[in-house]
Amino acid sequence: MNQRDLAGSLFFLALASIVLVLSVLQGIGTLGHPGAWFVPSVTCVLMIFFALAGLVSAVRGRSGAACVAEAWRPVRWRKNAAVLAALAVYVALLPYAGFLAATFLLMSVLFRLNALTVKAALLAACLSSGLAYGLFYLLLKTPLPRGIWGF
Amino acid sequence: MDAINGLLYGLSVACDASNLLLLLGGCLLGTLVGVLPGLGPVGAISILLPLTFQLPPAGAIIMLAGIYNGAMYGGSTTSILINVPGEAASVVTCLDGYRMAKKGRAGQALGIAVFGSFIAGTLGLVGLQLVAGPLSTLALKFGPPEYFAVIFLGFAFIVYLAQRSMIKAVLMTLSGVLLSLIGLDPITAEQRMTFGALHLFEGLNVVPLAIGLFGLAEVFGNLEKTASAKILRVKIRNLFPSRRQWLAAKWAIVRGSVIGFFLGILPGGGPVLSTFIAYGVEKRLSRHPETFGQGAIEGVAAPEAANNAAASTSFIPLLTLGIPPNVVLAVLFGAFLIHGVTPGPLLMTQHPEIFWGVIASMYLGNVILLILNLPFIPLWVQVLRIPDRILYPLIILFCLVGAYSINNSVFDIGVMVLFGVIGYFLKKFDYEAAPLILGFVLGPMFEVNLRRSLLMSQGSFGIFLERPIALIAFAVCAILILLPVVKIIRTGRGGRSPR
Amino acid sequence: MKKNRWLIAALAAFLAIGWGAAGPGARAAYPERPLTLLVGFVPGGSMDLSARALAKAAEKILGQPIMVENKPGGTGTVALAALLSQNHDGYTLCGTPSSVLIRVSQQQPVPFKPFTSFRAVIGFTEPQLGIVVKSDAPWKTLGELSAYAAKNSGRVKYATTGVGSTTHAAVEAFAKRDRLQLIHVPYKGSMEALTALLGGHVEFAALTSELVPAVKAGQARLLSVMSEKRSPKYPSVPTLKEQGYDFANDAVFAVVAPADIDPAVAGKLEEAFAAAAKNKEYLETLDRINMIPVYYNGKAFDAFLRYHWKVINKNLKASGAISEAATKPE
Repeated sequence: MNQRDLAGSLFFLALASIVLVLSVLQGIGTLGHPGAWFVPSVTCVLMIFFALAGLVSAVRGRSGAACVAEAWRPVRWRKNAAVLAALAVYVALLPYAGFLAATFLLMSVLFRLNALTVKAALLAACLSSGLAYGLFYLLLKTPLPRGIWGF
Repeated sequence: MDAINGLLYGLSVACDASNLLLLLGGCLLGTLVGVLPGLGPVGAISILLPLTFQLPPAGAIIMLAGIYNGAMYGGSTTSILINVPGEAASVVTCLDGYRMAKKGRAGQALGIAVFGSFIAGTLGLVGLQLVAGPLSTLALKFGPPEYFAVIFLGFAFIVYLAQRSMIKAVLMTLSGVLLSLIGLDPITAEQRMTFGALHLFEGLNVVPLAIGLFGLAEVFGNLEKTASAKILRVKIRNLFPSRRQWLAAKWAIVRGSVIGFFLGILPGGGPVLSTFIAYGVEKRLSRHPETFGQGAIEGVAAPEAANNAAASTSFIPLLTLGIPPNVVLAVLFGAFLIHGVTPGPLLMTQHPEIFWGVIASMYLGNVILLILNLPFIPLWVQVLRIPDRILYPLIILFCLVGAYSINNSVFDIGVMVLFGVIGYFLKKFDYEAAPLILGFVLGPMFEVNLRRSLLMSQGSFGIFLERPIALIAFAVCAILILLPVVKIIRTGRGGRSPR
Repeated sequence: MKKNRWLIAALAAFLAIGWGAAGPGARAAYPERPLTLLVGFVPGGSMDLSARALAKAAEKILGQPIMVENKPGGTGTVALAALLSQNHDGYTLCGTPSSVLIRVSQQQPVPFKPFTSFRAVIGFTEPQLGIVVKSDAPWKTLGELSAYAAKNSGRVKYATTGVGSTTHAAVEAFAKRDRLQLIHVPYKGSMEALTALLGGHVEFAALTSELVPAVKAGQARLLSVMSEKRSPKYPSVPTLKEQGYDFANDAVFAVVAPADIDPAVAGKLEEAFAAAAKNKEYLETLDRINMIPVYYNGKAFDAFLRYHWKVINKNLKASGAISEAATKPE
């Protein structure tokens, strides 16, 4: 039993089943006039078929060789979680703080997480967000979001 | 316009001062992302796409194609010097290239990689130039049933040529198709899976998806690793291969070019796969296979030739049929659309400046890259010394700006981050992201052409069997599907073991 | 934008002090800073290119730069929603095709009222719409095509730019009056539909501006145009209306502002854009991208919207695409 592939196959099985039920409920039309949910349904049926095939091959696969835990062993969990959290805050903050301020904040956090000293992180963040602002906003006229302070 | 006149016209477009500058810029940027591990051409093109918004379409595509070719050249440098592939198409180059470098032959390895790339890239372009015109004319004969059959064939190839488990590749492709169906139905304008969100009416955009799956996910994956790569401190000399090395590598380059040429055209093939196959073929044909993996020059020459030939010929299906055969071209396809140009059979007649301009500029790009890579290799090696802790936050920054500027929308940043996380989990569970992007781009074509065909035939599937092109495509599909099924029945096991 | 106010006020105060005695009328001198023109479509499309050309001409008259900002999404509705979320001070405008207000909003629920949320500054251009056949096809007029379709009932196929689009509605009007049974093969956009026509996969196609280069290159023949009056480009080609089909183009590109901006500002904008629409370079750009110049002022455009809303509503209901408009118009 290959637990990792088993988990993956089960996920796709569940996903496809849910979408299939919802699609069929919306109406798939006829062959001569295939409706909006015709192709989604076909796609889901195929997905279910192959997820089942994956399930079978996972159950019959080598046992324990590639269990879930192994894939996650060398992981430094906290760092990835912190980066993700920082990005989530960034997305939420961006429309209010504006590009320059929000990016400065994000980059400080990212550089600090990557083991730069506080001073160096602030400096690097200052440079990178400033240069990105200069390049994209001032030079290339990308309409980056402006915050409540007008920049 | 025939192939010769077309090329001359294309050269006149490509030699325009601003286009030449754009090409140079694209080649430089491409080499840079090729050299830097952790960011491949897909991520790079997606991220840099907004930079081209102000440009005319021809210039924009010329620059993006330059990035693609540049990455093919640059990737080998990292493989040879630090045993970490700069991008996926250079994985195989590590095997013998790094060994050569360790034996003090780094210069020769880099040299043969660059020359092999140049020769193969140019050969691939000759093929592209000759085939593209006639194929465009033929492609006009493609109606909905033919398109459906060819895209179906493409799916079959994507799965058949998958680098790991085929079942997983099918699931990824289908997930891509499903994701591509989000938004207003192209035929009835009904909302599908939009949850009423205005931003989802037009569906997800391929660019934030690609940046997330190939840019951000890569960073997530690298952040958790503790070890950092060490650059081999070697003197680089003798970049020009000697007569003896030419003799040894000559046929490897030719065979690599031919393999790359054909795999480049096939959907799901492309540069990455061609390097694996070219390497395998060389090893099998070699009179001294035991030297492979120990620093055989053929082991560097063949895959480097193959990936450049494939990079050139992968433009054939995009420029003539409007079907992108691999992930990079899928993003380029999006770039065409953003610039208001639809790639397809009419591209050659309606936008000759783009069609021939891009082809001609790729010839020039090969020359530029040859010059960029030979004398400046020490410079590129310096780039490798940028520490990861500086590099990764910067890549994240570029991912953010790149995702935002496609639609000037914070929503797309959210999509990008979400797919960064998804890409990270896909990697953990050993799924490839490339079939997902291809499924995503081909999905809408798959759907509308199936439905158009059925509308035309009033619901009869016979329409797919009446047309010769469609029939042939389906016959090939049947073979491709039956082959692995037979294999599964024989061995009693699903999937293929990792290479 | 909204938050810019304090900065601007401070700046203005600073300038006022600097200049010393500024007259009482100076404050009202609209526009006193750059304008933003939102466009709900990607750069490079006909909406984007025509709006940019018009903005460039209007800058010279208003004396302030106009920044064009693409906000694609929601088939053009994201930009209109964004317009309403900005300050309603006349410094942010939006370029939109009428179809977003009267077609999209009947098929999808949208976060604005098509008639009352906006007031048009100008309706300035329309695409070249027409019905074309391949140049080696035997039909020289729409009548000949109609006769052929009547004889081959249920076998003649046509391509349009999408279900529920203006081009589709035009062919439906054609088929309805002549009682034709046709097979509709919808494509995504004019280019794909043209490719299908030239490949011989459909007998005829209803297209937008992409038909112009094909007709010029001798690949396709134009049988009829869909505009109210004959096209300046093809004076010898009759309109659908002339031939007794009850259809006229409902796709006009406009610049709109929030409905509740200062009427004085609105008047100034209308005047400036009307003058800009006579600019020579702007007209040349339109010609190059195969768009036809038209002119509607705010009032005329409002009447245009209300008339075509009803027509489209009737058509969409008759074809079964909707049972009721998804958005209330006012």
